[in-house]
Amino acid sequence: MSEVYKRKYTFGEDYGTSDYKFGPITLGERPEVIENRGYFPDTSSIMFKLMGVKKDVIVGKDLAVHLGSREELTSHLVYPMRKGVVDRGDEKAWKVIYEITRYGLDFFRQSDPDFKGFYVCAALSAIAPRYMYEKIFEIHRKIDEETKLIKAVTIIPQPLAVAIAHKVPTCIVIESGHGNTQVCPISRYPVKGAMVVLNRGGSDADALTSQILYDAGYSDIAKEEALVRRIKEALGLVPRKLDEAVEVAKQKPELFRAKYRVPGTRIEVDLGKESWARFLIGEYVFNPKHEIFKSYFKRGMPKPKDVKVGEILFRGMLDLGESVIESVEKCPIELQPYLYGKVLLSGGNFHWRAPPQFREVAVDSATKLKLLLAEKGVENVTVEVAPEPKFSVWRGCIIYGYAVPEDYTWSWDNMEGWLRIHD
Amino acid sequence: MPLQGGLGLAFEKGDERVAVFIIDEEAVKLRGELIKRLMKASRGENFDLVYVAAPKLIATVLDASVFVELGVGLLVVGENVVEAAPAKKRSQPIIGEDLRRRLMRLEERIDALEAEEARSEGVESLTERITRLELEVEALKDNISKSLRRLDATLSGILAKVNALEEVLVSLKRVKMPAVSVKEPGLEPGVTVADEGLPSFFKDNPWLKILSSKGRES
Repeated sequence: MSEVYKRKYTFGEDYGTSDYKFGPITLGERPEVIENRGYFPDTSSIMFKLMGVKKDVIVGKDLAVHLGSREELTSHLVYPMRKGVVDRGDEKAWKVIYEITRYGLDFFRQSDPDFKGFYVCAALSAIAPRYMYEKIFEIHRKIDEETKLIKAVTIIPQPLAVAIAHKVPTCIVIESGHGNTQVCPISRYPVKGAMVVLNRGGSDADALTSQILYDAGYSDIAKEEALVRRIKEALGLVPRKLDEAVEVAKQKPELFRAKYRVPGTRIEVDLGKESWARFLIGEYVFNPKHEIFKSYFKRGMPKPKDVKVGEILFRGMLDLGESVIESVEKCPIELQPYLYGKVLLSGGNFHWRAPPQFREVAVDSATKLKLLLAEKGVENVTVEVAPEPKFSVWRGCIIYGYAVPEDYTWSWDNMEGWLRIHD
Repeated sequence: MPLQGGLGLAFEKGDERVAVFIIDEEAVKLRGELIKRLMKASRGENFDLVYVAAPKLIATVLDASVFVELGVGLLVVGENVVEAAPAKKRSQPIIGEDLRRRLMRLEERIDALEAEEARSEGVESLTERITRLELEVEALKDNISKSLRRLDATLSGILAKVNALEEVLVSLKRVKMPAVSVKEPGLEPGVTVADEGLPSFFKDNPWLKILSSKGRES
């Protein structure tokens, strides 16, 4: 296969905790995005029969129109990658992953007679164990048997894809998704032994936002997961220094007043006197150890705990600055300055705005991390937020799939190369 | 019509039905035949006027007063036919009229019943036809509904494909950017190719060189 062929038929797949980003190289800058979830309808219900649905699990853009009652969602809606790791025996989760992968490839089915299948590069969490790689290969093999859409497949860790997309061969990548945060040193390949994983991500900020809404009298909205997430993104702010930000916000309640109207509805959230709490949301992502959060934990908000999954320890309360330092210091000393030379923040959990009118007390994610590192004596660090963090991993997959020679075959020792699916 | 038992002639004259019984030489020759014919003539069933016609020779032995008494006319046939005794108009038996009326009423009732039966048969037939039509309409509705659903699903599928194709088209247009230089995978470092059609994140990306040398390090 020529390089010209790969220019048309390299395909990227990013199995994110919330979204699945996918598509061929020809899409250009941005992939297609669907939510990484599947809905298992109640096959005995009258509605199921009326709708004439044939599949056991529904994925993709039309999923929302099939959803049942709120009570039903908990048991019927499955987010397979929420924690980054899927249990080997979680059949429902693997079924959703199969359907999503198939959906993505079918979406870009080709009519070109010269098409012999995609070169698929998939990205998994850096903490994904070997059996997840085996399962993903198996799923692609099965899909190819049914569709002949895959010529070869490879899998890379998400932080590596981020580094590739940002053109940095040596760096620290912090990938923060819905369920966890991975701090991963890269030196032409992930330094796995130096990786630090945090048992918290966007969902923890969601939980805090939900508690804030509850305190402000919006107990009904506080239960709506998707709505809470939107409110978090619209109202949350990252404080330069939390104590100072809260004090200023309390002094100028009208300036910092947090109001949000849900588009297309009559629902409006107004935190009123509690608007200072919008700074808690951003702080919690970077530093959940602040005193102020103790009262929330006491009232029942789940506290991120240290958890061991397989060989990997997921840290609960480590702040992000400490995480970077711990990760870097596990690497060879001569490499450390290069790693501090570039820290990349990727994932939806770093997408915080710092509006000009709040510049005095609110900052963006990169500044916040630099401040945390400076507190611990690490200065002159270059921190960048990926401009479109949502798409970084997919872009890295596209470059990897395009550049790695097709005759470089998959090795379980190196965990890289192409697994040939068909000739 | 063939005439038997001496009845030589029968005809209608206006409203009256007339019978003429013949008493000829044969009736005289055969034993009892003369009496038999006279008896029949005297009964004259179903006729209004009854005559006996006899040749002049035989008529001489017939007592005309007896004919008058029975109401039977006598015609003497010679060179001319002479009505020796006139026939008396017979009244039809009352019981016959009554029977006729009853018969007529019965016929009317039968006609009415037949008409009613015909009507009821018609109603039943209409009911059956309506039921059949209703079933056919239901079947048609079902078929149309299924066809519409199939059509709707097909259209949705086509629309989704058209949308996807439109998006691909838009993105293809979008990625047509000015040519820049990147290293071609697999080529020696320093050899470059135009990256026409490649996304911007390929431009000056050092990973292209690192990744394209995978498997060739040694």
